[in-house]
Amino acid sequence: MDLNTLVFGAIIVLSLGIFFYIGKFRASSKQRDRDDKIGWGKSKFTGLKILIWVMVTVLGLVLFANSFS
Amino acid sequence: MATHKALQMFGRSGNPTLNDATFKNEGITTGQTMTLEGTVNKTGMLLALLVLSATYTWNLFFQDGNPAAVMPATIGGAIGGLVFALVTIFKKQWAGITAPIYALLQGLFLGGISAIFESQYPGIVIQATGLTLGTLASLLLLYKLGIIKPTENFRLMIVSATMGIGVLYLISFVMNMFGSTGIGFIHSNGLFGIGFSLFVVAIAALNLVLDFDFIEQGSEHGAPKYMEWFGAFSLMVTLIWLYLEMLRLLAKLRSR
Repeated sequence: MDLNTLVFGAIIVLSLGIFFYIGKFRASSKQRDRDDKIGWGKSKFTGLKILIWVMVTVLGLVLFANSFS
Repeated sequence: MATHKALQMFGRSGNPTLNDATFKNEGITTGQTMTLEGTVNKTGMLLALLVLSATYTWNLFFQDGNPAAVMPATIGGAIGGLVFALVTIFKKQWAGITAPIYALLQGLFLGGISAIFESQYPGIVIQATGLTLGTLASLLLLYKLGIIKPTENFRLMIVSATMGIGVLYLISFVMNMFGSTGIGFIHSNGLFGIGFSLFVVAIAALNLVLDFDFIEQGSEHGAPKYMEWFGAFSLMVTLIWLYLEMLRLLAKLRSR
């Protein structure tokens, strides 16, 4: 096992450990008790949805144009 | 009494746009609500499924070292993954079924792509994986400790930048399809190309903070149980994007 694998392998194990352990705890009160929190009433994907529809439409037009060229 | 009414109306958050009904409006609750532990566990399940299917295309490539052998599974995984991602975005209630399928399909895609990169730059995959998960853990710590505080302006900035990158990639793709070289600098290994990749990596990483906040607030406000799958799916989408951008950045640096 080379040094690259050892170092990055250790980072992977440590990071997964941190994610699965810390992820289960609630954020600090400093994070939770704020007045300027994000309002998630609108889906975070609303903008993405629009972008996806634009992308699909443009790709469709490109494929359509290409089929006649 | 007045305090009780205020709590009912706005929940624990002082933010009137995010009350207890916000996440409940996502569908009919079955009594069980979203929890942090449930979301983390489901993210683990999705990661395991992704690695499982990635192993298949990875092994397929290294059995005969021919990229053509993995292309059908890789392209099929990419297109199928996109379809199931769209279904999950538009029908969050189905996330319990569509998110695992999405993870399996994206695994096929990532396994194939990773194997091709690994054959060109040995050791690059473990570096990209380490950097991606390292970023995930670091940002999670910063978020939980309240050092990074996502606000509406923060979200606006990140979503705008993400959409800008998406449009740029789309224009480049369309130009390529018409035989042009596309927007050359974003793919080059020059200073501009590496700078652009660093910018994209930073934006992808900051999207993780939005995911953490979405999950944290969803569990705090009693979102329906299926939102655990949706939260895990949302995190997976960002992680996959971040991993791909890390691969691109490392490949640019190694090819100089």
